[in-house]
Amino acid sequence: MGKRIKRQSINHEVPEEIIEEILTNLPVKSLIRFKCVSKQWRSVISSKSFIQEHLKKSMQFNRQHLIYSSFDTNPNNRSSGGFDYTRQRLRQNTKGCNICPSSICIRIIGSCNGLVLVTFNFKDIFLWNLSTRKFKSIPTTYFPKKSLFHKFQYGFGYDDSTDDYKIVCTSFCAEPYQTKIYSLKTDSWKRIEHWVLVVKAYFLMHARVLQVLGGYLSFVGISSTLDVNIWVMNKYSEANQETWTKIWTLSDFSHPKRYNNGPRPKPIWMNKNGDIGVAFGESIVVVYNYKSKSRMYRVDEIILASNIYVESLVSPF
Amino acid sequence: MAAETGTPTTLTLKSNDDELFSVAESAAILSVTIRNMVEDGCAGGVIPLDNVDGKTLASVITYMNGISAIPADEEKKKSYRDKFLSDKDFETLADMVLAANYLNMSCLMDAVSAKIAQVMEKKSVGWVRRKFGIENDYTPEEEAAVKEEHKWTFEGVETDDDN
Repeated sequence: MGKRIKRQSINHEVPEEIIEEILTNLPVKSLIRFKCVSKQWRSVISSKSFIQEHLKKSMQFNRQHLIYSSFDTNPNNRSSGGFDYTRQRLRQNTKGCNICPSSICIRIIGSCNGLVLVTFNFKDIFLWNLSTRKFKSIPTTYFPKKSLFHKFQYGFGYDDSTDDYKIVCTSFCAEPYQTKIYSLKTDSWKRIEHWVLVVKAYFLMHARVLQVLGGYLSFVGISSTLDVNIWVMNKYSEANQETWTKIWTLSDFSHPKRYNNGPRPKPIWMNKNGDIGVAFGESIVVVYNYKSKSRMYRVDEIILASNIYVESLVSPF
Repeated sequence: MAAETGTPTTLTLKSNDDELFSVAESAAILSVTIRNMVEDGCAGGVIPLDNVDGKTLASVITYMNGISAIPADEEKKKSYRDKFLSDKDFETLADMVLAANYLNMSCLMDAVSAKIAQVMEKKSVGWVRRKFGIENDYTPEEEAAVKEEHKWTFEGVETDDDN
C-alpha cells in the first residue's frame, strides 16, 4: 500500500505502515467499526497479515475473555425437580451474541486464536469467533454405532504446518474406535489410520491440559493435603531451562474433597490485574487475585463448561 | 569519543524549523537514526533532523532524558511512558508517532501507537476520518450497507469532541 494519507490538522502525512501499527492495538469491536472509515481501511483491517499481527498483539496484551455455559440457579427460572436444560446458555464476560438460546446440552470443546468450538446436543458443531460474532456450522460426520449413545472425544487446534484449523473426533460408539479429522480449509472430514497422524491428533486433543494463562504456560496440581496449587512456567532462562513457579495455593477452598476424584481444576483465565479464574470440575468458577492474595468473587451460576478465548479477527470460514 | 575521556558528550540536534537542542549523547542514541549518524562520524557539528519540528523534538528530548535516567526496570519505564503520554492530545501524539518512526525509537513508537489506539477506541467513524484526514471513498449506498452489516459495533460510541 504505497498511498499516503494526508492529515487535516497539520501538513504531515501518516504513512500506512504506521496506521497499521496503531490499528493493531485496537479491540475487535473498534476495528470492525473502522472498516466503515474508507475502502482502504476496510481492506487493511480484512487482510490476512493484519489479522495475524493483531492476534499477536492481542495475546501479548492479554486481551482474553472468559466463556462459559451455565444454567440458571434461580429456582424461578427452573422447572421443579431437576435441571431444566432449556435454561442452559452460553455466556461470555463481555456483552454479546447468543447463537443458542435454548439448546439442550452445550459443550465447549476448545479455543484457539479466538475461535471457539462448541457442540450442541452432542451433534451440532459450531466454530465461533465471539469477538466478530461470526460462526460457521461444521458438517456432521458418520461413525458406525452399535449402541444408542454417542460417545465422542473431540479436540480442536491450529495446525501451522498447513495453516489450517482442525477438529479431531474419536468415536467410542463401536470397536475398533475410529478417529476422523476435519479440516477448515477443505471443509470436510477424513478418517485417519496412520499412527503419526493419530499421535498428532492426540496432541491436538490434549493440548489444553496445559493452559496458556496470561501468556505463560500453567497447570493446576493438587497436593496430598488437597491444596490446589497453580503453577506458571517462567520465561526460558539463559540456560534455556524452563522453571516453574507456584503463584497461588488455594487451601481455603471450601470443598476440596469433591475434586479429588472428579475432573481436575483448570486455570482458565488471568488478566493483568492478577485476577485468576479457576474452574473447579465443571461446576464452579472462582476468581482469585493472586497479587493481593484475595478471593474476589464467585460466579453465581452452575458452570457446565468454560474456556478462555483471545480477541481476534480470525475468520471461522 | 567522550567515553574514553570520561566527560559526557553533548550532541546538538536541529529541528526542521531551525531550532537547536543540546542533548547528552547517551540519551540521544536511544534513537537508532541518531546512533547511526554518530557512528558514521556526523556528530561533530550539528545533527539535522529534517522530519521533526521544534515543538515535537523538544518533547522527544524530554522523553529521552527521562527514560534514560531510569535504570533497567521495565515496570518503572512503562509507568514513566504512561505518565509522559497521559496529557498529550491527538495532534501531539500524531506528531510524536511520526517522529518516533523517523528517529527509529521502537519503545516510544510502541507506546505512542498504543496511546493513539486508546484515544481512538470509542470514537466515531467521522472523528477518525477528520483526525486522519481520510477521504470517504464509499458511495452513500455502500456506506449505508457496510454500516448496516456492522451495526452492533456502533453501540457505545462517544459523542465527537472535536467540533
